[in-house]
Amino acid sequence: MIDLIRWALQRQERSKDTAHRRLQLILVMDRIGVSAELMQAMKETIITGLSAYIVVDESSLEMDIRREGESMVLVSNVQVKEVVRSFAPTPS
Amino acid sequence: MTTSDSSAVLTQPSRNGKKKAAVSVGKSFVITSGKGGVGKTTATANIGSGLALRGRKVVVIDTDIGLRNLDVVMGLENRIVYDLVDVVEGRCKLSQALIRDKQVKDLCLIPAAQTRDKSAVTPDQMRDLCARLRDDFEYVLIDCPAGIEQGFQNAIAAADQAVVVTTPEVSAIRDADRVIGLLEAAEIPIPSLVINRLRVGMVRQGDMMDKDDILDLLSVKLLGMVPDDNGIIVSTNRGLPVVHDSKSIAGEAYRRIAARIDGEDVPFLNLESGQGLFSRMKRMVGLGKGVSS
Repeated sequence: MIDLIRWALQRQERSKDTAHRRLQLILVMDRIGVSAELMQAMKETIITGLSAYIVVDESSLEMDIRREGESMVLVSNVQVKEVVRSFAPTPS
Repeated sequence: MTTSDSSAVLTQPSRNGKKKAAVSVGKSFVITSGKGGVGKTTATANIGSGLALRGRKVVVIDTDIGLRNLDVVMGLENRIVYDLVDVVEGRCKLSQALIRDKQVKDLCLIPAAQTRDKSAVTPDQMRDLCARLRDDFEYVLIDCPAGIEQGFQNAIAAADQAVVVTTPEVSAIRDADRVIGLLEAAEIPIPSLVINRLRVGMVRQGDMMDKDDILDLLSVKLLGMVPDDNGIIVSTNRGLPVVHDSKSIAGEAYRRIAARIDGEDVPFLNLESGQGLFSRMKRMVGLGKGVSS
């Protein structure tokens, strides 16, 4: 209940979630030696690529590279605002 | 607690008629963290004492040469004659550098040298020393210095398993992840994690990462969680590890950690309950299930 009131009043991310989100990025950079600039450039490329088909909320883009067993996986989450209607698929 | 049972299982008569451990080779663990000040030395003292309270033969080694502290945490600083460097340089016999614990039998400490530096010992010397200790002790616990330089390399050289200690903070977790990577490179199996100084109130408010957040970030298995407890400071003041205090919740956490290392499957401490005044009182009179759940 107190959490709910806090949330309603602040509408701010809980600090533990901020810590967790920051660590996800920090650990990826430490583990595979990817710089923050490179991550940012990758984010921008993903947004540019997606923008041809959908309108996305750029600030919502989250990216995480993590180890899953033997391989590295990249997981990206982004909020879709709308689908671009003018896009005409080429007939196959 | 189970001194007689466990020794009955583990001992058998040897040639000279004396009792000797059936498992001739003891297990060695390094207790490490990367970051300083997260509670490695306290963890080593408590896990070592906890195992000895279970009737195990344990030796704890302080490898923080130049900054020794395990002796004071265990209250043994006045008994030091010889140290780790004296042993590896042959100035004394191994048995002369083994300091007997005051509280529990079958627990010994090899203190670090205070006037030398990390280069006074090599990884090969550590491997030799631990090989000798494994013949006489069931558990060899190596307290690692902070950092990832030579002291760290010395400490992990002779370890076949690792315990990583962290606190629920960004910097400690980052350093723990570095250390986990280095342990992996040294071909030590997946480390066990102790999350130290958890503050239940802050976790509840969303201001401190909980065990799930931390386990999501680090590739480790959980060994135990130790709540932040003023009793730790009191126990360090006295040189008496908190694991000896049957009323302390941190002591209970370390008793369970020692049990898990010893192969017993015990549930994790329920830190959520038992925090309020009422449940604390209930626990004191033995009604609550806060700690034992």
